Amino acid sequence: MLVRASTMCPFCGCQCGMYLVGENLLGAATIPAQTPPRGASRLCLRGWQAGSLLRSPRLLDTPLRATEPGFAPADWDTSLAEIASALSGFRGSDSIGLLLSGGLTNEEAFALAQLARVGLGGSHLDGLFALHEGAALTGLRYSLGEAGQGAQLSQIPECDLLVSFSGDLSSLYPQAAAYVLSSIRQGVPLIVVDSLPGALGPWAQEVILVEPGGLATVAQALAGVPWTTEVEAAGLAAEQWEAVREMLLASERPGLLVPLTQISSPQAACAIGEIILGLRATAPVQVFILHGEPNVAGVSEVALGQQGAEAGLCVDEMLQPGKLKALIVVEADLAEVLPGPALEQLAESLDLLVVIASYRTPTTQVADFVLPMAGFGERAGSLTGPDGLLRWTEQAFEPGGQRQALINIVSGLSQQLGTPVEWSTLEELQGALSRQVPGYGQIDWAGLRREGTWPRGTYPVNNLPSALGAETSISSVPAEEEQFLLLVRPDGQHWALDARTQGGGILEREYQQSREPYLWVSPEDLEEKGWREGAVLQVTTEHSCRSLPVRSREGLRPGWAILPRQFVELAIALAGPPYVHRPVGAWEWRPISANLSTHDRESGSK
Amino acid sequence: MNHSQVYSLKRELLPALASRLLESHSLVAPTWISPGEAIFATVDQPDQIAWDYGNSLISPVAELFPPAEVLFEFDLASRPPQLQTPPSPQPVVLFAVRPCDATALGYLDDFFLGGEFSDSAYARRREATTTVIWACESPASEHCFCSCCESGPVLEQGYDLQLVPVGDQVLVHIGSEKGTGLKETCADLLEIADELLLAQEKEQTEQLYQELSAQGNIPAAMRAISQGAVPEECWNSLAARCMECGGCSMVCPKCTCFEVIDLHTNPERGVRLRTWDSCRLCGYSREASGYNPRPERADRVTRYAYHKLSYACFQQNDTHGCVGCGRCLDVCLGGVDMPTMLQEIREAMPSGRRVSAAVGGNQAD
Repeated sequence: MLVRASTMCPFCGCQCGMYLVGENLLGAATIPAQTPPRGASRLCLRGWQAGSLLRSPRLLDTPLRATEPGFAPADWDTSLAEIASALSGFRGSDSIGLLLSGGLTNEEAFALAQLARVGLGGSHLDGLFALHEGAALTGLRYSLGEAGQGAQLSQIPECDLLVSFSGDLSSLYPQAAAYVLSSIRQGVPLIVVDSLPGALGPWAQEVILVEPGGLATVAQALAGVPWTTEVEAAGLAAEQWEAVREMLLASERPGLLVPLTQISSPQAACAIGEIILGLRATAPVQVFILHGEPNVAGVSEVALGQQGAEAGLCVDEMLQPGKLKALIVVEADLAEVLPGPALEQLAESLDLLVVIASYRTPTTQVADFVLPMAGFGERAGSLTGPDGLLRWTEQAFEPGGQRQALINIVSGLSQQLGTPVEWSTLEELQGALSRQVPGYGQIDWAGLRREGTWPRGTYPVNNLPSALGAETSISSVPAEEEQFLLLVRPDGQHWALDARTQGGGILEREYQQSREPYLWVSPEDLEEKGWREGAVLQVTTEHSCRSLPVRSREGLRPGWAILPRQFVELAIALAGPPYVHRPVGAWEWRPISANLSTHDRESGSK
Repeated sequence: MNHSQVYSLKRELLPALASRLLESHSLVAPTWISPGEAIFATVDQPDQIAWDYGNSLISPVAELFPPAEVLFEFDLASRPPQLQTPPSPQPVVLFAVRPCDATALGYLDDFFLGGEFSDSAYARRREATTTVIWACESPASEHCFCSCCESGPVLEQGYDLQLVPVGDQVLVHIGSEKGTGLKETCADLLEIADELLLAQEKEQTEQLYQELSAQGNIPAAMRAISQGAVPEECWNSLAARCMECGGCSMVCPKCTCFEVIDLHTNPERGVRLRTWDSCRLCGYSREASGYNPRPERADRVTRYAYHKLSYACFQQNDTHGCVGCGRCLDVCLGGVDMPTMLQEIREAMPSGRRVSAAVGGNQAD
């Protein structure tokens, strides 16, 4: 078995180390690295199947230029020259934006930040991930006054008490869930704080079932704010509050698992930060920060965090038609957050949409130019974990087709813009990164390549918000009889809509049944209403009415219905536009009353 | 063990043995890819061989049944349509294979070659492969239980050459004509093993056998599974922890689930690919109609255990589906690995029906 490279899983933010093996792209496969912090011996389905990404028919092979109709292949020089020419018209006019993925390497993100600052004369720059993670990150920073540096997942077994702010770790962050389950089997108690118990619930010593919009109140109570009836209304009864507080205070090594994608209000994250601060006074608390993508921390630090006070439009604003003239989207799929018509509307409003990506996505379909970049397994670079540790990923294969390394694309584009970059090799780029990004000056890049990991120095936090505002009012949710409470929240099946799982093979097969929208209800409601699994329900809210097949979910409270957040078009149609937390632009959907019924009682009933 | 002539080799001459084999063969052997992490790969020098490896990350059976392989290229535009199979592999010595992995190889031989139809891709690789076993002198990992699975710590059969380290000597057993051929390439390094050394080997093996057997719950689990006596709550508990990563199947040397995919370069041309798969995954059993005979995770966990450990499957295959390598314990996200599953099944049985975990034990507790 030919080992091609030591790399890292390209999906979620668990940063699982793996080896890419195989004689060629067709034979590529992955095996888990064993030794922390590089690996944990284990991978989830996506990690085990990541080798298939290298042979996906959705991989982009050649630069494309939009024509009428469709796209025409173009050569690199012409594409870069035409893009540079189009961008030149907007340079310095405050009308160019760059949106980055959290899966880029530090080097790629830094190069793009330089392009934004120098090549494009100060364009707007943000990460698409900020829509779902920005609220939590902002709240944590607000209370902690720091980046909230996390611990390594491999340190979970060192904790004598675990608190998870999600019951759904198994589907969202399997590696973290594996460590938690392992600890539970060793007798470590778990407290789940979530609106539903999720898969972890049955093994938890305490499950705090938080009412929608009540997380901040519950977390404040856990942090030590005296219990009141408001806390009970938020989901934490007095007896449970006392029991959990006792557990927290008795713990000598507590660990908190904080999945940023599931904490959609900065106030709730701020209150979690207060729990951390409170525990720190008596015990060495470990915080396990879970991002949705592998390098959200690194991209935030080396690209977004360098904007200082001049930070421009946030991601939410950049996605509004009319705000920008030109947009460059890098390895991100706007369809994750913009329903089809909204994506088309945005594209039509722009004079220029450039998509740099390794896979064909709905976003590439509406672009003016598509530039194919080297993706997973095809490029080397570093990623920063929430633990402050840089991890090196090696290049396993030469980029296929005409795909090019992103740093070369940036270099070529900068050259065409008349602002050539100051580096010509990856090493020179790393040198520039070290000089310009605080905390990265102490990185021994050769050591990082050799050892696989290297700690960065202290990273200062910029742009602390001055206030967070008030949390969503729980009482805003009507509770009418015969109506359901519709919640929009992330679901582990969101990978089904990721282009990387739609390239044939086992990933495509396993996610096949989650590509079409569905609605979760409790088994009790399914039974009581006489609905069968898969029955199509008519879901009616004050905003609209849609038909959706129903699935049953253990542990979900009767009377609640969950719409997975990945079906963003439905989320907006049924629950209305998301509430936007300023200034980060993070989205949050408020719960809403919904009427669920069958079109045809006969076909929907058992 | 094969009782033909046994030879001995000074342990210090192992690199010389490897050098000799390298003169005439391509050698695939365990090699370190990072501290503590070994994998089977082609080596050019004896010093690349990880002699003291425990278990490789992935079983060397992957050399014969790879994680992903091209079965053939197709060109439907040609008249008649053309199928092009990959070129035949070069002869290779699979060197320093653990007995458990070699046992799995025998199982794969039966699976791919033993029925009415022979798998040509596997057959080509198997024909080109000679196996040299590196028997265990101590447990290869803390999770091993090979002696419960009749797959170690040394082999009785199913090898071409077997090396058994005993003190500063290595006993060399010949198990086939291919093995005899290999022995001829290094005959000057070997001596005929004396009786004392053979006695030491037997004593070492017996001791190790006892040590490895202490971790086994296989007889109890086999009985319970075969009789359908495992409580439903036990299956549900195991299923609730399974995160459906498929890792157990990826590392199990005896797992043979695979998926076949056609990758088209255009509508008429492409390659047919075979990749490892897992019956623990929901889509594995789903039929073209959409019907899934095992829609629930508990159904799949039960099916997996049944296929691995039931008497019916044992009778069909003349062996059960585990070699006791313990790799699944390393990779399982939810603790639904074979050793844990065996233990929980045993513990879930009413006490009167439990079976002793001791070697050969089948008495009630």
